[in-house]
Amino acid sequence: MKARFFSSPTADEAISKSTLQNCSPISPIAHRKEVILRYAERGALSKAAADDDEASRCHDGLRQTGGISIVPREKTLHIVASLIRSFSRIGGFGARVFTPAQNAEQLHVASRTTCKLFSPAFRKAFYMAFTCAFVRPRRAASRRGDQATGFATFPCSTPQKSPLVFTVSIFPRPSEASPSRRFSRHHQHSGDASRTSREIGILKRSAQPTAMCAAFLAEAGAMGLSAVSSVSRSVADGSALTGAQLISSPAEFARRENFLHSLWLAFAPSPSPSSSASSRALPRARAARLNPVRRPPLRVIPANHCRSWVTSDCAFTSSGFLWSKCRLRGSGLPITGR
Amino acid sequence: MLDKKGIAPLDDARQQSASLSNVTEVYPQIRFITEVRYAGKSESTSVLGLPDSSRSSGALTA
Repeated sequence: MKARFFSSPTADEAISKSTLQNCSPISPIAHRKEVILRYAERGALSKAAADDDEASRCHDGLRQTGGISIVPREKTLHIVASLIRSFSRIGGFGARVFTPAQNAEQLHVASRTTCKLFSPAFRKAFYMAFTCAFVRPRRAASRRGDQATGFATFPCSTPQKSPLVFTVSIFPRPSEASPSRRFSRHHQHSGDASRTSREIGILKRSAQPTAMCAAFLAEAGAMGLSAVSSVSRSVADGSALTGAQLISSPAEFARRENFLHSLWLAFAPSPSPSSSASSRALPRARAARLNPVRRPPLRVIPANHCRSWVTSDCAFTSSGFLWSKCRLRGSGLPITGR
Repeated sequence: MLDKKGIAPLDDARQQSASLSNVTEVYPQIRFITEVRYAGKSESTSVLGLPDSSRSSGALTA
């Protein structure tokens, strides 16, 4: 078998890291040809469940979904190539399985972060951010015509062939992405909006996002998705960091002097030992005793190995990207926006 | 595309940015932790969606 890229944007194919296959680092070809993903698929609530949920109607007249249903699924992907080098340069953040983006979107995977998506900023989208690549960043002559979009930008480490092609992550600002503000207001009006019904495979919108996250972890564990549950619990408890967390809370990291260095750190989740007991809701003290919190080791990718860039000011506005300056990391070459 | 509060839903912002003249590519970031079975073994790992541009962006070339 010859290694190749995906045959199409929707192909059921995967590129995996060689560490997953535990094969020789000099072999670019997987010994096995298939990998199976087990995940929780999200879906719409049934009409009966939605009608039963009084919290599904917002008081500003905007009808929103009152929750989601989750179903355990399996997906078989054919391995077309395996990586023997680190993939962190393109923002892999420790990922070991890669599939076409369009294919991944069509899986409709539910995760702990899905619980954050019940907010106006994510009214239609079920992803936390999108990436935008653009050329010839410009400095805006006037900002008077620009409107704030409510979105924040964040530089990506995606290497490009041209030094004038730049990529940024665009995501709702944390204050807008958090559903707690909106829901807490809703809770204040409706009184009973914070109740969480225990129905198999049903996650109803809650006044507290953490309640939805806890409900998801319990449901995933009950469905036998112990790996999903245990790792997500580690993330929720702060014992593991993921790239998604890094992206979702850039302000916290930006205060650190070496923040831009940390962008290229590989955050490896530290999965707790999977067991049927640990996958269920346990008291925090007992869970901590069974699964001791262990901070993941950070692996530093040398900066001079990155063909990436940093920026001090890049904003996504209604009229385009506003740019102040940036410089290439590694080469030390300054580039002024124009 | 802004709503009453001046906040564009993420999908609208995605379409809006794609229509800008100097934008070459826009794609959602799909990344999730899941259970993976390979060669009879199960383990937890992250799965990442790769855009088609990775084919030629230099990310996967030697």
